[in-house]
Amino acid sequence: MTATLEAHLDRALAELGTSNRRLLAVCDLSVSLGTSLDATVVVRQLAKETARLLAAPSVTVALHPDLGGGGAEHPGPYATAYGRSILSQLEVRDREPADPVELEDGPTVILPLSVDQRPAGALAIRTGAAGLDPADLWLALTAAAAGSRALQACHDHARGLEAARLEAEYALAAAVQDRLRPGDLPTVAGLDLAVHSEAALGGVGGDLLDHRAHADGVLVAVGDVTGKGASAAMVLTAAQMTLRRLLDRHTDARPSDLLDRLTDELHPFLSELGTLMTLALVHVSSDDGVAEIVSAGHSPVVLHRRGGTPRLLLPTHAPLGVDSEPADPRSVLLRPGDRIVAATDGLHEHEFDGGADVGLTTVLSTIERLDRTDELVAGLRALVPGSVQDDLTVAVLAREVPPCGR
Amino acid sequence: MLTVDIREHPSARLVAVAGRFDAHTQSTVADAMHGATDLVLDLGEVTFVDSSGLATLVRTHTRLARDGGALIVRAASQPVRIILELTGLERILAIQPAEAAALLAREAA
Repeated sequence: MTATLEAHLDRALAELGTSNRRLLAVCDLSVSLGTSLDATVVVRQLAKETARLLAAPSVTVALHPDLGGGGAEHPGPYATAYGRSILSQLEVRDREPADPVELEDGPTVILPLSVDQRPAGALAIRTGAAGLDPADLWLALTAAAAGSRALQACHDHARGLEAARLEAEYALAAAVQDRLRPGDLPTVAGLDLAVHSEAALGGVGGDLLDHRAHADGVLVAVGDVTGKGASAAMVLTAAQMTLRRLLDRHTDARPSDLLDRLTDELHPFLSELGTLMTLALVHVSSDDGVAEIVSAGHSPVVLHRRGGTPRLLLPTHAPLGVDSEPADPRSVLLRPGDRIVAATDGLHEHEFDGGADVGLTTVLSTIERLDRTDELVAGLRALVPGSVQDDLTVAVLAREVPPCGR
Repeated sequence: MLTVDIREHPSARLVAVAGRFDAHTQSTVADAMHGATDLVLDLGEVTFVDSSGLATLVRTHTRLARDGGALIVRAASQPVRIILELTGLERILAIQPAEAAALLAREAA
């Protein structure tokens, strides 16, 4: 506080000793402002009550644009240009709050209002040329402080409402995604499937996981939509519903056929949004162990032969949303014990505190180390400690080793 | 942390990106590429690129192709080359060795 202002306040307090009625009035102002959580009402009331308290010819309250702008004047209508000229005075350095500023309508004392300890607006009191006497200045400063507190309460309330609205929207999105989760793992003789999927943001994510008994075996879909949060979740929901519909209609369709159909339906939508989606579709026949794999830019997809070294399978197609020529699917014969692992980048791109990431090498060595599918899924999940930073999905589809072959 | 260096040449804009090119920084790179018809993008010093960064590259590639321009990626760092290969995007984006792109840049100058 500056020495000049301090001197004003000392004198004011001395005078207020005989002016308890006005002191009570400013207390009333503080209480009445605190009863509203609507900034418009607070601003109007602050202008009106300050004018009454100080018997000032005119009081204006102007809000900073960050708080929605606007303001109130008592008496008379609020003029935006006048509000702007008041706010601009707050930016003048070395200005004493007690010193009246010469504005078009006459000398005016301009006091700052703040929210979150940042400039939020101004309380402008038209005065005579001498400005406010010390007692009035003290009352005006008290009114401005009460106004700041009331505006802070409005701001906190609005922020709370916004947070509650977002929370409700996320809860709804999470409920929708929950309904879209695949059901129980398919039970198909000779094949073993284990999966894990986890969203980073309150159950709402951009990873796709689906599986079902399909044609003569099991089909697994693992995908990832660019970005995070609600927008990625909406794209994912559209993609998952499209995939479900295609699977219901084309019960014998192979991954390559499904990907062609998905591309036809989703490409215009994705390219218009400027977003990408990677997707791996894996089907393994329980009859002969033939696996057909298509990967639209998805990685990692890993083939692990029993007792061998896991190897990455490169994509067969560009991600969905990119103009590209269709490519051939990849077919491999899975022998008993062989398996295919598909995951999303939330696994190998997970970054530790020091800046290093999990990395594909660690993923591959974990695949090599753990035999059982459920152990492997748990082991891969455990590479990311605690809660996930990014959506994370892992699926392992293996051809079982017959009891006599163990 | 990301830095972007922009140089305008008569026939192309050269944009050199260094650091992490991800969901948090992709808009900076997108802004640097915005408005150009022909772009040479140097990703030699990029330490990490995620799917949001890739989507930015694809969007720009699509826009320039539609407008009769071109996006040339040069000097892709190892992390960038790996992710382009893993996503199959190296078949879509024009990626040049650093020497060829440098020659192009000198000619443009």
